[in-house]
Amino acid sequence: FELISDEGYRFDGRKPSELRRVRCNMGVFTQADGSAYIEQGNTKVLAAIYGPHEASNNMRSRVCLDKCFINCEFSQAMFSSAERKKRSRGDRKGKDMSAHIKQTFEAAVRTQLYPRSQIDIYLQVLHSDGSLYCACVNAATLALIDAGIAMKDYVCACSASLTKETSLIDINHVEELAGCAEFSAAIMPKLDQIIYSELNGRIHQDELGQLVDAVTNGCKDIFAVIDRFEVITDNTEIAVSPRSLHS
Amino acid sequence: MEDIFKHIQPVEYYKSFLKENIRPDTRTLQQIRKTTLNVGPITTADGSALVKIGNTMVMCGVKAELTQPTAEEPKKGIIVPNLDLPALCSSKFKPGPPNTQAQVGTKFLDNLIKIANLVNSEDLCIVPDKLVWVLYCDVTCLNYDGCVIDAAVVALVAALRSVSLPSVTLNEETDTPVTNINEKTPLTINCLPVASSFSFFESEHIITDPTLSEEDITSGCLTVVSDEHENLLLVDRPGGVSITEDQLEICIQRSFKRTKEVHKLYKAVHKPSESNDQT
Amino acid sequence: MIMKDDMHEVVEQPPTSKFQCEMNALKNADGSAFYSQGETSVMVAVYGPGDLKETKQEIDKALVEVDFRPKLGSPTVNEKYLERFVQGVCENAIMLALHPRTAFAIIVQIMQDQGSLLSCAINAVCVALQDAGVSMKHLPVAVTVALRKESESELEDATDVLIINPTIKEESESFSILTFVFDSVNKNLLCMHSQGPLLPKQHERCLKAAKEATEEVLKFFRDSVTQKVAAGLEL
Repeated sequence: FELISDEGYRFDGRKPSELRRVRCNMGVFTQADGSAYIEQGNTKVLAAIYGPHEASNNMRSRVCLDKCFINCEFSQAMFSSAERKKRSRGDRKGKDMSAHIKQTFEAAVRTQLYPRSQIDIYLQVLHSDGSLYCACVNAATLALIDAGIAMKDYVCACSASLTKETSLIDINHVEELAGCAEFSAAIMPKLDQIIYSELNGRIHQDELGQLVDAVTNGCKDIFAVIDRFEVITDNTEIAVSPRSLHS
Repeated sequence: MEDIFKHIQPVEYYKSFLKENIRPDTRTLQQIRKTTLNVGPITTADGSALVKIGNTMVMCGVKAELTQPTAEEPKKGIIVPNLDLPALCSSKFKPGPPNTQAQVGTKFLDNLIKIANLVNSEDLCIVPDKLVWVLYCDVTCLNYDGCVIDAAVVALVAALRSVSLPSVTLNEETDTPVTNINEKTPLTINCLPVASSFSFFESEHIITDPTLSEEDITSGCLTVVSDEHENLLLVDRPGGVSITEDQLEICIQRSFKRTKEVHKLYKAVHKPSESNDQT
Repeated sequence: MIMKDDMHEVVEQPPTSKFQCEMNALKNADGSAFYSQGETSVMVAVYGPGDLKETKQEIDKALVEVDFRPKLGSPTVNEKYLERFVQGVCENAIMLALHPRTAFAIIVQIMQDQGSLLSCAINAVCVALQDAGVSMKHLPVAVTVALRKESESELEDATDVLIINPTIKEESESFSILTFVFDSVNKNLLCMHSQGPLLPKQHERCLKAAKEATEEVLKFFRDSVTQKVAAGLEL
C-alpha cells in the first residue's frame, strides 16, 4: 500500500502539499456565547464557547486572581468513527486531547483581561477522518472569535507526515494508520510562533526541519483560507454590537 | 432595554406579549417553528439524521454491531437508544455524568421504541440464540432551545429509516460471522411517530412548541406522540399546573396536525444520503 | 374493579379491601406511609421542610427532591423516569411558597410491584405528605387504567375491557396502560402518563373512568386520616 503513487498523488487524489477542502461557519448555536463548525475534508468538528463567566461550583478552586482559567472538554460522538466508541468523553484519549487544547489556548487567549473568570471550550466531533487535534483547534479559534474573546492572534493548526522523503500535509485517517511519523503543530500565523507541537512516531533528526517547515506552511495556508472567509468580517460586526445578558 | 426587562422580570415580559396573542419570537401561540431534516450527514454511521426545530439542533447516529442475544429473548435483536445533553448545548448543563433530563429522555425514547414497535426485533435476528444485530442509536443535542424530545424523536426515526444492514451468515465451522457488504437490505420501520410538546402558562394559555426561555417560565410540559393513523402512542405529562380535559383535547388535535406536517418531511427524505427537505 | 363497555354489567370488588395504608410507619421521618393497592405496596418517607446548601436554595420557594428506590439493586434510568412524575405532582400540590430556602426530600421505596406502580406511589406520597402535616393546595389522586382487547373483536373500539388499577397480569394482557393524576378540588388533570396505541375517544373514555375512580381513593384517604387522628385523640 503506497501513500504516494508514482505520479506523486496521494491516496485521495491530493498532491503532497495540498490541504483538504475546508468549510467553516460561525455563530452556529444560539445558546453558546460563541460557536463554530469546521469541516476539513471529512473531519467535522463543532466548537462552542461559554464565557467568560463566573467559575462554576466544582471549579472554584482553580480561580486565579489575575487571569481567567480555561476549561476544555473534548467529546467524540459515538458514531463518529468506523468503530463505535464506547465512551464519548472522559476516556483517556479524550482527556489527553482536552489537556492539549487547553494548553494551546492558554497561550493564545489574553487571559489577563478576564481575571477570576472561567472560559469553557466544548468540542464535539461528529465525524472523524484524521487531524482531529488540528480541526478542533481551528474550530475553537473561530468560536473564540465569534464569542468576542480577546486573543493575541489566530491559532491555526495543521498536521504532516513524512514518507519517502516527501512530507504530506493534512493527513487523513488512512494516512494516520499507515504508521509513519505524524507531526501536528499549532502556530500563531501573524506572530509566526509555534505554541504547540506534537510528534508521534520516529524520524531522523535531519528530517525534523523538513517536517516543521511543511507544517508551518500548512498552517499558513489554513490561516489564508479561514481569514478569507467573509464569515469573519460579518460576524465581527455582530460581535461588537451589544450582547444580550446570559444567565 | 428590553433585554434587561426580560432578564429581571421574565414573567411580566412574557405576559405583555401574550396580551397581544403573540410570543416574543413573533409566533402565535399555536405556531410551530420551522423544522428541517437532513438524512445521512455522517458516513461512518450506518444511519444518521440531523434535525433542526427553530434553533434546537439534534443529531442522531445509528451504528449496527453483532452480538449474542439475551437469554430471555434469543430470537430478538436489541435496540439501544441514548440521549445525550452535553454541556455544549446549553449553559444549563454542566460537564459530568449524564444529567437527569438526559436519563429521562433516554427512557422516553426506549419506551417509544417498544410501544410503537418501531423495528421488528425478529428482523434483527440472524441466527437464533447465537447472533443478532444490536442497533446503538446515539442522539446528541447540539443546541438546546426547547422541545428536545420532539427533535430527538424525529431524528431517531429518520436515522433508523436510513439504515441498511448488510447480510450476515454464520460460518458453521469457525463459528464466526461472515458479512457481505454488497448485499444490503434497508430496515423496515413499522410506524412513523411524531412528538409534539406543549406547555401551559398559568392554566390559561397553551403554548405549542416552547423555546428554552418559555420552558423556564411555564410549567407542566405535555408531550404527545402520535402516528399517521391518529393513534396516540405515548402521552407524557410529568406534573405542573392542572389542566382541563378540553385543553388536553386541543393539544391532542394540534399534535395530529403537526404529525401530518412532519410526515411530509419523512416522505421527502425517503431515499437516504443525498436528499434533505424543509417545511 | 372491572367495567364493561355497555355499562350493564359492572363487576365490583369491595373497594376498601383493595387499598390499605399505615401512616406514621417510620418514627424518624417527618411523615411516612406504607401504602398498598391490591398486591402492590410502597413505603414512602417524607423529610421536610429541611435545610439546604446555600448555593442550591431558591429564595422564593422550597425545592422538592424525590428518590425512587427499586426493590432490588440500585436506581437506574427507569427510576429516574418515574421520579420526574412524582416530583412534578409534588411541586404542584405542596404550597412551596410557604417554605422558601428549604427542601422536601421524598423517598419512595418499592416493596412489591404487582401492577399500577406509578399510581400507587403517587397516592402513597400524598398520604405521607398528609402524615407529615405539609400544607398542600389540593390532594393529588392517582389512578391507573388499562385497556384490554376482547379476544374476538377486530375493531379497536368495540368492546375493549377497561380495567381500573390493573394487576401485573392484567397489564401484560393490555395493549394500553394509562396513569392519571387529578387534583381533589377541581378534578382537573395534573399529570398523566399513557403508553400504548389508542384512539382519542378511547383516551377520553379512560379519562372519564379514571375521574370517577378517584372518588373511591379520596374516600379512602379521608377514612385513613380520620382513623389516625381519632387514635391520637384517644390517648
